[in-house]
Amino acid sequence: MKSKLSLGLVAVGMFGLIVYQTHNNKDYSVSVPEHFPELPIPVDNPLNKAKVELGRHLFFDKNLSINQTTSCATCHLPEKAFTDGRAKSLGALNDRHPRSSMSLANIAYASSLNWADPLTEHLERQLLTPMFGEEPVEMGMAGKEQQIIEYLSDQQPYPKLFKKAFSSDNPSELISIDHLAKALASFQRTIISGNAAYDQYLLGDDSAMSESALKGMQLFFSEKVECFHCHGGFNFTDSSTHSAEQNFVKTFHNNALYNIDGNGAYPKDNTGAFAITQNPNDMGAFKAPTLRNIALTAPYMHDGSIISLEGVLDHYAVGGRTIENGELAGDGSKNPLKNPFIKGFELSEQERKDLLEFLDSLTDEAFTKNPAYQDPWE
Amino acid sequence: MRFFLKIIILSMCFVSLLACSKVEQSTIGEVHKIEFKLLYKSKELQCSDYEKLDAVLHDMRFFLHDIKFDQESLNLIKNEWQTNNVVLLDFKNAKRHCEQGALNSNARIQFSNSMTIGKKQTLSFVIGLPNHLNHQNPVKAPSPLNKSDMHWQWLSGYKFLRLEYEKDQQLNRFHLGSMACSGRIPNDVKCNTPNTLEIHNGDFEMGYSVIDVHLDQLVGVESEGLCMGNPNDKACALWIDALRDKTFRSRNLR
Repeated sequence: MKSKLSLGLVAVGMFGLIVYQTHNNKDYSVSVPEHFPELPIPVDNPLNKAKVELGRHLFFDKNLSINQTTSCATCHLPEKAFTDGRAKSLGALNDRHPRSSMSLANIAYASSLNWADPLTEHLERQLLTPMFGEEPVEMGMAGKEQQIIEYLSDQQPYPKLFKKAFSSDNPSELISIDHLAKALASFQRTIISGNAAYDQYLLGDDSAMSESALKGMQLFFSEKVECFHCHGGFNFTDSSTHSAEQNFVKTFHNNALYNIDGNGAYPKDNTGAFAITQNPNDMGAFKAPTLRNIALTAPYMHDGSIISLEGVLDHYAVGGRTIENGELAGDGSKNPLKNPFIKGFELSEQERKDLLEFLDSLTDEAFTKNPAYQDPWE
Repeated sequence: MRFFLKIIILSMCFVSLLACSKVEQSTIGEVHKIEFKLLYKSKELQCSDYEKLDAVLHDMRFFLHDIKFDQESLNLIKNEWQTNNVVLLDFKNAKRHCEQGALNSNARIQFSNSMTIGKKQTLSFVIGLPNHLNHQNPVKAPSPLNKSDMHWQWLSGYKFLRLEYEKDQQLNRFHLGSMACSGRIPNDVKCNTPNTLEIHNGDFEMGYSVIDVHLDQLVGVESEGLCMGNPNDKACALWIDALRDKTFRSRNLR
């Protein structure tokens, strides 16, 4: 059976325990599981311990929003694998975001950030949208850079953390939005999840996964169900990169959720990569999110329009969702732009259970409870 | 009181004498200004007019680049509002500015070319930013390219113009910037809809002309109230046309 399993999987380790590789950077090292690629770190923002600690403080700080209600963690809660449990996230001023919060697990490896954004590759750039964006307002700090800098200059422990984190930089520019962004990005790069039952099995613990989960894994990596084409690799997404990779592969897929006009249209506020490129072929094209911890991140899809994993399987089983009535009505399975791997499949009741059991085996409980990712202000 | 009036009149004469006797060719390094005036229904807006308008202006800011007089590029002075080739004109929240004693934050271009005062030629500029600056990281950019509310985060570019006003109890928002972009930021991006607008102001007399910004041409557009830059949207098309064709005009103060 194992020979079949090797399809799409990395080499099975010899150890019963997860062995971590460390990425040394003078005074700091981040542990990533042995079966993960090397952590990609931008040359102009090397990791250090103080920077990560500063980033953690910033990540959980509601004072970085217009009305002190919202931090990064408001939409990215550790216990929900850094999602928020909402179909669509809510900004500080109650703006409803068109999309659902994405998990930050292993976000350092993402080749593109956001749901459908071919332009944003780096966390240092991505975080400017939730902080300063106005359509919709998330944290609502547009035009308030000076206010942020004054706050950070006064609020302990920020001044000393900035000093430690950016000791080599010009002291007059110590507390800046650039440094805030670098620290937040650094913290996010340390958010690593690779100790699920699946990982333990992969690294040699034959008892880590149930029989049912193992059968589900076979299905997951089969040509019958085709999940792995978009959700393959160590991070269960084809939108990933690592430090050795030269060419960024940015992939987006139309997953047949909508077909409003019969020509493939998606709802106006969720047109996928099309919103940025205006290329008609990008209509409804979204990133395949990681499936790590997927059992913790309901509801599903870019717009939270499927409430359970069972529902997701139903959607793919029929090769695309049909909406009978209303302004979103249409047969997604006939979306001319849909990814060709979404061709539908038939599963027995037991096979469905097995597949769901496998998805459950991607949950990394230790990850959600990791003290390194908890709120430092509590 | 009379004494003061006399002083004012005398000093005004003195200033105008100076202006008239100005040497024709200025020296290199001297700073020149081109002033922009905000007009509403052909009337130059003063702070005292502000309450009488039928629209409340919340924001009116825009970037200009590639500024040329008689086809000669102007060397902009670097300051809070300008890099060497970009200027941000700022009429944001004129009402609040008025409370602080001025109608605007920045309504001028400052440059250092040697100029013939009194020369009448075309003044041209492009609304927006050149593509090579548009996708840079704003937190590392010099002022005025570091202002977060002029950045269009979700498109990894800038808002070239943001106009926001309230009229007939409706909030209208017109944001313009490059769209339909692909490639890799910051340096390798192509935008099929650049949304930069080239404006030519003929008969601009250096030293004596100003550029009027006819706000009513934009506020008068019967729009659906929201344009996020897509020229295929009706509201955008109307605003973009008005901005390109009707908003800017040179006026000679002599």
